[in-house]
Amino acid sequence: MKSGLDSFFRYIPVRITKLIATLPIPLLEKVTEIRLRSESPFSLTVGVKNLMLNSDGTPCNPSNAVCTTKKEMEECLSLLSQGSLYTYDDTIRTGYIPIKDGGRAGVCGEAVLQNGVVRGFKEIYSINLRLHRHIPLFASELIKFFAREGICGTLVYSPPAMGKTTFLRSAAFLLGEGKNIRPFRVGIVDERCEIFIKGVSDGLVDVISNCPKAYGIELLCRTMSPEVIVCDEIGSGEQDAIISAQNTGVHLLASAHGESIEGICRRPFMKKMLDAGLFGIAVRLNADENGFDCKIERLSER
Amino acid sequence: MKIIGAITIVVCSYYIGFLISVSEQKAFSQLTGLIRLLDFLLQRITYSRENLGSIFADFKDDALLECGFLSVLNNTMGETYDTLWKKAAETLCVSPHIKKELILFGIQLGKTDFITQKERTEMCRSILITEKQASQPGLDKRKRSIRALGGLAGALIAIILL
Repeated sequence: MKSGLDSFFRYIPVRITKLIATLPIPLLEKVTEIRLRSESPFSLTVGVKNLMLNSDGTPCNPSNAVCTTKKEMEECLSLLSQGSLYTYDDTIRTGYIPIKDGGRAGVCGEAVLQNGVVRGFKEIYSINLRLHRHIPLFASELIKFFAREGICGTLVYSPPAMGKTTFLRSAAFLLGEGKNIRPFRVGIVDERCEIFIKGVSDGLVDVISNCPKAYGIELLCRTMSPEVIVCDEIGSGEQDAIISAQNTGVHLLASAHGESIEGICRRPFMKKMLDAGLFGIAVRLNADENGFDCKIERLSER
Repeated sequence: MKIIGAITIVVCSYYIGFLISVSEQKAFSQLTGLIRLLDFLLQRITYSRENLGSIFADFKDDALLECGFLSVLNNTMGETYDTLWKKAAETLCVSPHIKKELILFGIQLGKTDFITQKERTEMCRSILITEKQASQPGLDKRKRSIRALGGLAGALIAIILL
């Protein structure tokens, strides 16, 4: 199997692995997520569809679907954390466990609060194993645009699971490698260890991972003088660091969840960044069972 | 012939007593080893948040190595640490209530957040220390008594048989 899904099988209980492995390879190659839920059906995300399997490994309705047992959930967590859950306290608090060979497992369950802040989870009910996809030429249209019009701040947006991280990864590597454009010094701020994959690119790419975005952006600007900074899923509280980075002349490639620019603008921190002229263009991503699709929009024209 | 038989009985009984005293010493050494292991675990999880695999692989203790405790822990083969710890605890010759405490500690090993893991380790360590402190003062005396009792029992059996 060339889907990369096989590398996830070592983290999934054997019973579930056997069921998934019965699916045809062309379908497996399109799987982007494996979701396990305690005492509830496990599912696969294929494009925009959710696939559940019955005990024969055939796609079915939720009522007939195979459920993950509590013990299997524990086994999966143990495999993900190498039997040492305490080593992932910091990331579990923010809802994920990074996977050694790339990808991440999102987790949620019954939270434990301390002074109103989530300290961890008493019990984890759901695990979402998200596969890192590397589509080398996914952002080639954007690179062509940059080669033609000049590089500028870019906001990549779409609803969740439409390939924003994959697009950013491709753009970062293409810019760093200088494919159809001069090579740029690219700095990746990979807060959740999702964007960068070791050994895939030989471009001018510097990475700071597992570090808060605002701090990472500041650190990269100070120490690595990148020409382009790439970061995923901008959140509130990070806008000031991002605006200050832009003032140093660094171009930003960032992503945000959203259906439309109008929708994105309803979030005050995003509006502040858009008003500051951080982004010259926006890239709208779409995904269906046939693959991904992107559309470049000029923000100044809006 | 009778004298040779009597001597054999006494020697055998003394030897049994000797073996029992050795196992007392073993249990004590294993207890000491376990306390060292928990100290090592606490230090490693507190300061470098290492995973259990590398902590157990780096730890060395003759008593725990000899009984197979460490070999079981280091032979993961896809098993979780709660299962391995339970199996490893079975290799020890410590008192039953200490074994029970160890098994209880193992149930959540590697399955909790840092604070809980640390608290549980500290609690288990303090139980082991209490046990060690209770058994340490009379250990040598007890070992000598067991050996002497073995010899005496042998002599008594020999007299009765003769």
